[in-house]
Amino acid sequence: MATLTRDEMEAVIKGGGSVLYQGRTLSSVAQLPSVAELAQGDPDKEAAATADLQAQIAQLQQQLATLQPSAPAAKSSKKKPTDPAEGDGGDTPSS
Amino acid sequence: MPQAWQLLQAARLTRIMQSLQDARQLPQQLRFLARTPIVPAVDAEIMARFTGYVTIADLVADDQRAVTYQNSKVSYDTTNIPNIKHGQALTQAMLNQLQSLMGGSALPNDMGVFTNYENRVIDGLLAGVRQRMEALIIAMQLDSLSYDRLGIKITNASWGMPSDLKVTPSVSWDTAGSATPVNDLWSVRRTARVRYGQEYNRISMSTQAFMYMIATTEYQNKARTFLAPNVSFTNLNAADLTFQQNLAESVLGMKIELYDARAWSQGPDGSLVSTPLLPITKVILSNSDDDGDPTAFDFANGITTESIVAGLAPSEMVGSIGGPTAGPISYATVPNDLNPPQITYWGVARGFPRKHRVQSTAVLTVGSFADTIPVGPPL
Repeated sequence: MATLTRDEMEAVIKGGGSVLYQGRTLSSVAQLPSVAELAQGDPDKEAAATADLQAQIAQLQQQLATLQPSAPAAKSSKKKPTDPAEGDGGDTPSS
Repeated sequence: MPQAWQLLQAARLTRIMQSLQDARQLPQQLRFLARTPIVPAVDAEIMARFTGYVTIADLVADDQRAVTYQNSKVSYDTTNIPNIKHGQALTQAMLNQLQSLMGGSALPNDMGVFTNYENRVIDGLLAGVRQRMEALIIAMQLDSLSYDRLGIKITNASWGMPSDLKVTPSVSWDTAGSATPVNDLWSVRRTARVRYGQEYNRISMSTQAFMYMIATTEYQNKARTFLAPNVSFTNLNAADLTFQQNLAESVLGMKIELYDARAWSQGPDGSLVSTPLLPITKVILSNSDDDGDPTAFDFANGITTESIVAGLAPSEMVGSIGGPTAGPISYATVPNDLNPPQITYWGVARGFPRKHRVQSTAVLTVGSFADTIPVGPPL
């Protein structure tokens, strides 16, 4: 345990203690520095944190992509009841 | 009852144990026990956690009535009070010695052979009871007790210390280049002073933690101002603990005590295990003014159950203790059928440490390092 990782800091706080980080006493998980902040200055940790964050971004984008097909459908389902005759300027749907 | 059996009377053995306790100073190594007042208590009182706040007094004019406040509450725990107890069987040689006493063939006063042996046994039992009390008091000051032995299992018991006084520095002290032990200690001291009105003037730590602390760059930079201009840290001997301790006290502005007391216990497989009473990675901050102050913390000493039940029904105890008695007590047992013909001495106390002012100590966990000096059975 040369320097506490973020997981170790969380474990200390969940165990009822506090973490001293750069002169500040952190007593809740919300106060903890981010993984990126903790990695600054250490090339190995920076690389690991970058890879970890990129993996998280990829995972989030994948989840977002699963929502993409339903988005146009929702739009079109909203537009369905509108009558072109009552119209919004006579625009026709592109598809 | 034959004369020799009278030697084993429970009341007599208890008197010996309690006179040993009174007449002799506590062993130097059991410092935390020596600082903790031992107060008599009943069972319900022992396990209840009393939380009280002292309120500042009112100004009352002459001939006027003062008011009373109720600022304390008592919350009950469901845990039972532990007994602190162990025994030692009489050796066969001493059984034979006792036999010679019973036969009346021994020299007058037995030349002190049996009495001296008995004193050593009871003294050893008392020391063991005290070591367990010391370990419990240290656990209270660390706010963490875990115990798993002989069917009693306690996991992470807490006395309610505030979380900002149980601090783990983000960089452990064995990282000489970037650890900041002086700032770590000052930060906790400042938190206690500002937030809880609690002043600390003493730091207790293991020698290993101290060696790591004085090896850090931060400490050496701060200590530099206390050295003569032509002296640098390379000129100093790190093993000169007395000098280093004095220097560190100047740097930190608090008294430093190095505490390395250890206790031996027997594992389930019979192997001897040595454990430091204060874990070497823990550092305790406290105030010497709280020593012996029962409003800060105490050790609640209960009535031993053995002394209560001994008089209720025939038992293997030799003689009687003479009624309910607080520990530590001592007595001997002999099997009624003498199968095997064996005499066992026992030492018993019943109690638990209580922390009334939860901020009276703070603790730092300064790493997860091991002692650089290996420890094992000496013989």
